[in-house]
Amino acid sequence: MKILIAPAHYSLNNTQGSEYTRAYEYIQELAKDTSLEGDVLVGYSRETKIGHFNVHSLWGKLPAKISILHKLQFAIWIFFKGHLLNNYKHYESIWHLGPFSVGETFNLLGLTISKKIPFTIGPIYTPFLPSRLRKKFISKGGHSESSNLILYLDAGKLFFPLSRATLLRASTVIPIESVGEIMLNNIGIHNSTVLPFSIDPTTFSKKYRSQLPKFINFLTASYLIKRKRVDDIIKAMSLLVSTYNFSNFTLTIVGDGSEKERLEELSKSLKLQDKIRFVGFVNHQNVHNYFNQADLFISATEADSMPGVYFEALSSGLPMVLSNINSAQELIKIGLGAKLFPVGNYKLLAESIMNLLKSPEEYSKYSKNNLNLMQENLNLSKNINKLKKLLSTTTKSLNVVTEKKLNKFASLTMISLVAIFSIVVVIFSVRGIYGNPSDIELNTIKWKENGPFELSPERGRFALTSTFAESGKVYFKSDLARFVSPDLGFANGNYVSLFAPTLSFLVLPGYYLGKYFNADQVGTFINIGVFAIFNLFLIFRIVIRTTGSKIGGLIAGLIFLFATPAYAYAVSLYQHHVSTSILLLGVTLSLGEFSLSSLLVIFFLWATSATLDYPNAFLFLPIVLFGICKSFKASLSSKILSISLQARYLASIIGVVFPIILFGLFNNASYGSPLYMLGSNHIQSVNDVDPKGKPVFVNMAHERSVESINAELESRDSKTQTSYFKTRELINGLYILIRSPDRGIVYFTPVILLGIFGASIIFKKWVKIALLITSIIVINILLYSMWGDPWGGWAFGGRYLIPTYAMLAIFLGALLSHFRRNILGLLVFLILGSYSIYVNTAGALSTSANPPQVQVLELEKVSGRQEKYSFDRNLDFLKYNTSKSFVYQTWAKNYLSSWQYFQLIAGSLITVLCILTITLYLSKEENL
Amino acid sequence: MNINIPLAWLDKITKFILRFEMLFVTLMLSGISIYYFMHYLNNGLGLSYNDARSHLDIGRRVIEGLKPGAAQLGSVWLPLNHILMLPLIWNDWAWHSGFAGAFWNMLSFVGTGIIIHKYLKKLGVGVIGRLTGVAAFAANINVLYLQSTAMTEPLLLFTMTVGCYYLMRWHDTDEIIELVKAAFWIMLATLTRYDGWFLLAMATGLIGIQVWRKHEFKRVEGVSFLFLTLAALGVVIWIGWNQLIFGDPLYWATGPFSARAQQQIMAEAGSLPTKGDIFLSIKVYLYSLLYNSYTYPAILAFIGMVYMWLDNKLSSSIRFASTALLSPLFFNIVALVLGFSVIFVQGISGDTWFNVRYGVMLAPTIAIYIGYLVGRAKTFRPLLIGSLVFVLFFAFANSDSVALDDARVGSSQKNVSEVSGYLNTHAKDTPGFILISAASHDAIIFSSGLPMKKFIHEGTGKYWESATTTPDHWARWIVMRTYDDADLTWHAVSRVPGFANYHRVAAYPFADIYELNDEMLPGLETDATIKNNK
Repeated sequence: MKILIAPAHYSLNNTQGSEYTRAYEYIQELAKDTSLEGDVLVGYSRETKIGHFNVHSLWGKLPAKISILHKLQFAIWIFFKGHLLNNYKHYESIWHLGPFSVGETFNLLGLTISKKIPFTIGPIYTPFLPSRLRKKFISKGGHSESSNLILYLDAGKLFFPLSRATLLRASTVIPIESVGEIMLNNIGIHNSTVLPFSIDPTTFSKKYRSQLPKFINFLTASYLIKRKRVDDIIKAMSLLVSTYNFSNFTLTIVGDGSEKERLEELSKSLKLQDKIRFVGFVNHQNVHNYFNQADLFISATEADSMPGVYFEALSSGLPMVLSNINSAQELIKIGLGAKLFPVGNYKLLAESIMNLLKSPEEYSKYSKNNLNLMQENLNLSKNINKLKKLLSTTTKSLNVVTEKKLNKFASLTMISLVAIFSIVVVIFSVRGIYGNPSDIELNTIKWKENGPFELSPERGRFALTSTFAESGKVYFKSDLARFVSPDLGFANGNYVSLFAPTLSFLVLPGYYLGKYFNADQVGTFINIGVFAIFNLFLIFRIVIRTTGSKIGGLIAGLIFLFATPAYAYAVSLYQHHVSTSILLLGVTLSLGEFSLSSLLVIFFLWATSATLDYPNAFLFLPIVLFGICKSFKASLSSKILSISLQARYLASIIGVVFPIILFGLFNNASYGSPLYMLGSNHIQSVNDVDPKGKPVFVNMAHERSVESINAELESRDSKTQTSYFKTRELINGLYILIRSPDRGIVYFTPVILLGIFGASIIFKKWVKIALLITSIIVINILLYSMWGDPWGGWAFGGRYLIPTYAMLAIFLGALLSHFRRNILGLLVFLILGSYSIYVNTAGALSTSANPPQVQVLELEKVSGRQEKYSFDRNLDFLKYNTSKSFVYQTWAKNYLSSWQYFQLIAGSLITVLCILTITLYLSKEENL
Repeated sequence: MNINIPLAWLDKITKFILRFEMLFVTLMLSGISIYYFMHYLNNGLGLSYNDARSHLDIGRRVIEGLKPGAAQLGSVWLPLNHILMLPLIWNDWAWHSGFAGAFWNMLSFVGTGIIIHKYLKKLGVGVIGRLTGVAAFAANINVLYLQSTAMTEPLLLFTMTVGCYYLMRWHDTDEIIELVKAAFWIMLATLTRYDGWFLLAMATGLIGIQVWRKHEFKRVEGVSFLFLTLAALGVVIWIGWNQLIFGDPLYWATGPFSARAQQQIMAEAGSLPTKGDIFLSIKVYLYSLLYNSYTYPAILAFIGMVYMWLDNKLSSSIRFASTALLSPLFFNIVALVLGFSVIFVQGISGDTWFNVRYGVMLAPTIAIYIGYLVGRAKTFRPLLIGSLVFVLFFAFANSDSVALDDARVGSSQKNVSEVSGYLNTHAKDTPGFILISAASHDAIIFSSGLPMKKFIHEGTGKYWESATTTPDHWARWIVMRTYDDADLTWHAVSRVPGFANYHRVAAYPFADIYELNDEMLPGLETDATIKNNK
């Protein structure tokens, strides 16, 4: 069998008597089996080969102290080295041997290796509470009740949450005692099998102590720290002399530690300095001499998990007096020759010693029992055989159930965190200025060019919201009209909005709320952020539904919102996120079983979307057609093709009625007839509003009367709606939206293009939905490529393609889910994702007023400086100017420069993206 | 609501559709063809191309004029279109409405649609794919406009596509009769436009390679010779004709009216940027291709082409043969690079349109690849057809035709209505000849509505020689560009004493009109009195 022991431990040696030695002994024993071969990954080892095992060391020498960075370095090295070796050697088993602490079982290699390879972790020490908490919890009911607490306290150790994930992934976890198994069970790790701890007894005497000598040589060996309670032993020695008049003894204390001086003082104060010998640290290779010469082993530790000294004493045939910790009690059950006393009670320790010394039979029996125990139950070579079986055991099914529960909990936590994070980022990015500006104030540079209303789409929509909220009217007074121009209309003698109206009404709640807090503009803009977050959620839902991958869904949602130009339009007042929400809702509805209500909603959404942005009527068409097709059911018998349509489905078309009525009412109030809308010859475009409040039309004299203008409008040729979209523009439109440096996807959000490769994955299982999503993408791109102004005026990135970004994000989620084990692919994704986040964060925090490249030369003539037109313009804005973020303007600018603020937000987003990607890589979500 | 359809009925309907599919296609295409001819006839755009009027005049001059006869077929434009006009061109309505020329283009339009259908059927494409392919070809205003006028492109599309079809059949079956059919249609293509000559070369190359692949190298010579015997006949005839009529077998290529000569003038004026620039040539032609196809169909066709090349369901021979469909692409790029052709695409090369209609040459190719894609990619069929309909809807809603724009506002148009109107008003019922260069002003001749025999032009032999020597004896009116030596009439007449007897009666952007002074009228010859004008 080919085994990879990774990691063996931070070090391997046979000199210290520590975990390093135990690990070494295990490997040495395993290596005796010539049928086994493999590799050992260790932090540092002098040896390069143990039996048939090749030993690979990370470090040239063992660091003086293993710091967190060392541990991190070690974990990453194990991951890469392990995979490299496995790709070459194809191991049949992976064994995480050390460290033995449950909090340090984190193993990236184990988490990512194929489930077909058995992955074993152990031996694992049972964790225990620190002294300060121990009394409190032990008194309330013992270890089993406090085990969760103990493990969570262990979480203070590095990587504990990931360690637990590793334990869940393992085929077998090996606690060294049953209490450890109970604790693991309590935190949902049910794949454990107890394998008692063992050491190599070769160097120990295995001497049967048949007679009790007259002069007794007591021995204790441990680190001299408080937890070991060596002071109890010294006090018990004092009692032997004073209470039991027994002075025929010496106590040898092997070991060193922080308590040594205090203990020496104590022995002096008790006048036992002649009877107690501190020998200090003894090399493991020599320690057996002290055990051989001893007659009785004593341990008063208050917390330990199968301390090695027990086994050294057992191997030496020494009877023992031990504090009643779990390990001691467990060994008693299988025949340990020892007397137990309650932890901390040195009087009973002294009494136990005396009782044993008074019973030579018992003494010799204990010695015999201990030798037998070591020989029969705790024999390393026998345990190694059990270990070999465990190493070839695959995952237990019981674990899967628990794993699912834990995954669900972890998923919910992660989703909540990502949602909160996203909301916070959107809030931190929303553009705005504090205050409720008047119509006159809105016309100032503070609110327009330098403020949140830098472009006419924001102004036009906000003006309608504002005028409706304040006066209940849908046309503008002259100051507000001046604010809206040049995208201003004139109809029936009134200044009117040229934009589809629905968005202005949808943001009313935010306007009112904002107004209450003296920030009506911010409140209005935040409404769009709410839709943006909703879009993230919808993408997440659709990805889960189609691929089952929660993490893939989260990443897809985040990429859509923060790594595409959608980000810049989530923090200002544009219709794109609401349009996208409606489209995503349509897709979500299409995923489910069709009913009358769902078709009704689809028709409702269709009509609503058209009143939100007129081209949506085309964009939503695939969903409507899909819904209609789904209303028909065809069945084929041997002779008949039956096509059925539930008549009530036909009634669902009334879904369009309500939005159209509202739209008609608006048109009537605004333009004078329910049937008049943009493009109608009854609405005249106004270029500006003169100081007297009169409209300035293009190519029209100022002094013309409203009546004469209206008369001319009547005679104008009507312009068809379809004339806005021209096939002749397709070449230029496709170039602008896809490849141009001023708006192209390639420059602004290359990461979303990876979604193209994910389409085939959804096509495998969700053909119709994939087709629907693809149709929306194709129609979106074609529609706006035919649009005369694919740039979207002065704008950041290709704003018209925001629905496409959302749809591609769904495909991207599928791609990530499918190729989550492909490191190279994920690396490419992270690089492109980070770049896209960087670019789009710059756009969101700065300005959307980027000119099209075709206007730059003219602009340069006016400004007399170089004018940039791609995202570098936004970076310059942040470097040399400021951020338009409300949070930055209001608070953060006192502490950070706009550039620092940008880097903070972009850095946070990239970090979260990296974390989620790594989590995806490590997750156990099933591939599609 | 339940509709139960017995499968037997469906079977009958399917059989009915399949049985009459070709009839349906033919009738639909014929209806569309007639409708659009009438449409452009009625809105006056039918003969917007200057060249269309020239083509009609050439046909007319063969049967009517001061020197009728086959020699009027000329040396530069290939003769098939003009020959085919002859049965109709005698009729004044057919001549002036353009029907004499459009008739064959209309037939070619229907024929090309049918051959696209047959091509796709041969490729194993189902009925939906076949009909989509035909629709993709027919639903193109550029094609519809060109089939409604007297240009040469539709006939070329037809002959080339049929040639490619039989070439593909020969690749599949290896039957000699298919090769002969291919040779015949390619021969006709070589007599229609020079694009056909490139197809001839490409087809010969494909045949040679195919024979070598399937048989042995020794047979290459024999099969190629067999093919060329018929296919190259048109080229041989044309060269012989040039030798016979003009005394130079390469007169079509090197003569003063050849494309080369015209392009040379443009090159000297710096108006031929594509010459020697392969990347600009590719760009210019691709733009004209995309504009003529509404871009999206071309993109789908490209995908279909790649799909076809990778599709193992088709034999490699058929896939190989299908490359002949790309012949217009290579030809036009090569012609641009070598300076034999010129295309102006607004914003790319020049500020106007000129010859941008050449992009329509791949219309059948695009249709075939789209049909193939729709036929094969069944999963994507709703998307492909839906998106195609979506784009074409906007193309028709906005009457997007770059070919028509070229004719109406580009360099291919000449608004000669003022000159021709003057002539019609003043010369129609007044005896006397009009001296004019057909090479420069054929559009005026056509638009004047006057009979061909009213005009003395370069092709009228002794009349031209006499009139350019003693104009005051033969021509009552002279139409020419003053001070422009490129105008043959000015070049000849401005240097003779008789020109002093004329006074300018009208000046227009394209030409001025001179009229003989009244005192010279008694000596003017107003009847065709010259005998033996050969």
